[in-house]
Amino acid sequence: MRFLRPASHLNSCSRVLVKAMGKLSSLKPLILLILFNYLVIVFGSQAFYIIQTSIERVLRPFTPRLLIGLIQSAVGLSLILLWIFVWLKLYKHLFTREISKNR
Amino acid sequence: MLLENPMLIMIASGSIGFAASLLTLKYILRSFVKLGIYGVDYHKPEKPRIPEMGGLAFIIGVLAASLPAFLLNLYVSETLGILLTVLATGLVGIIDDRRKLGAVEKPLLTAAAGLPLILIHPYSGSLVLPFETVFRIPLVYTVIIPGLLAVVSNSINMFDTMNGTATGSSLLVLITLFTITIIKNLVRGDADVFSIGLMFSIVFLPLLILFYYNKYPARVFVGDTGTLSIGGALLAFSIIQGCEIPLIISLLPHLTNGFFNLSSVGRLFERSELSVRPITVSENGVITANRDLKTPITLTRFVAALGFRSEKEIFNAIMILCVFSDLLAILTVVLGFW
Repeated sequence: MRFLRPASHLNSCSRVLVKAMGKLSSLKPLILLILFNYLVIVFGSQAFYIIQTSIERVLRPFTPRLLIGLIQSAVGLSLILLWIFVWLKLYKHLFTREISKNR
Repeated sequence: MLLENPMLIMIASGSIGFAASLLTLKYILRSFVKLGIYGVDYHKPEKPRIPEMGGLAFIIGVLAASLPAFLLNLYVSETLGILLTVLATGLVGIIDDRRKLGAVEKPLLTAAAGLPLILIHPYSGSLVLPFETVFRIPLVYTVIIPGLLAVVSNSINMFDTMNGTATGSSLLVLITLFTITIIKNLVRGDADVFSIGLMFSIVFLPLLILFYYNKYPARVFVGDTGTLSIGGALLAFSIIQGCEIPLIISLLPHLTNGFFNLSSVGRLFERSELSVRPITVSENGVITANRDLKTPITLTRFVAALGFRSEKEIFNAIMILCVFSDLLAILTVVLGFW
């Protein structure tokens, strides 16, 4: 009996895990959306930084500082708007797909 | 000698905050319905009347928990930064709970509540992005703080759709930020665990007791007083400890919910302005997503569309999403991305 106790604890733990995984799979569209935004924040911010510094490095020899700043702002804003656009489209698409399923 | 023991000060601070919050909550539970300060829980079949403005207990708890730090002259600017942000955002919440603020007034006032934090300046003024990219932007930071405060506070406010969702998720975010700050400081080797622990103990226990009374089935509603001040506390904690990016990752479910509320309506709005509800509740408490595509696509509506039917199921599903984004935030630090 002493050897059975840990096994029963493991069983209840695995049951909770299986239940949580089941719920996680039901939430797949929202998990996908969170993952997408996570990747944009972690890797996108680095890409954003590289793009901004490259613009400055390329344009610095022959462009006034103010113009470089304006170009950087325009590029930065466009990238952020692109992120928001994709986020919006993805969310709406996933929601419409789910709501159209006859639950 | 006892007064110099950091652990003892943290325990004293937490205990005072816990006791103050508990006593305030007991008073709110006893008196607020009689005083006419209550809301109706529309997600329950019997539509009970629940005392509102439970967030007052959080504000009073944080105020009481800050006292040992002031009396012993320890980390005064950091403690004052958290306390004044909680008080200022709480004041906006109280005004909103008593006489509804407009859809534009509320974010503007919550942004203005960031002024004390800017004036006290208990932060470094550097924004640390993933992969150790550091921007030293002290001036830009003074603009970022009010904007972030308006976004964070109002996204937690919009997340308060079911019993315990706002308080439970905020509790998870606070624990995540605490864990991340400890890991980060230990890796750097310059850990001031006492400062982090003190800030955490000031906010944690008042929030924990509020969650206990607000979780399903709720005995108290936190109101805008609670949601806005909790948002203020989380932002102040993350700015003082320099972990803004993990805060944003942890708040991804909140930000998604807030962003799509706004984008479906197309402007800033108050929940009371909505003529069609995103979800419908049947007589026996079964929740279904509204199929009208013009209705705001809230996170609750999305979760209901995924087949979660009762309030408890939806709460659990939302908490799973929050735990997932909190784990992502911790993983970012553990893997060395931030």
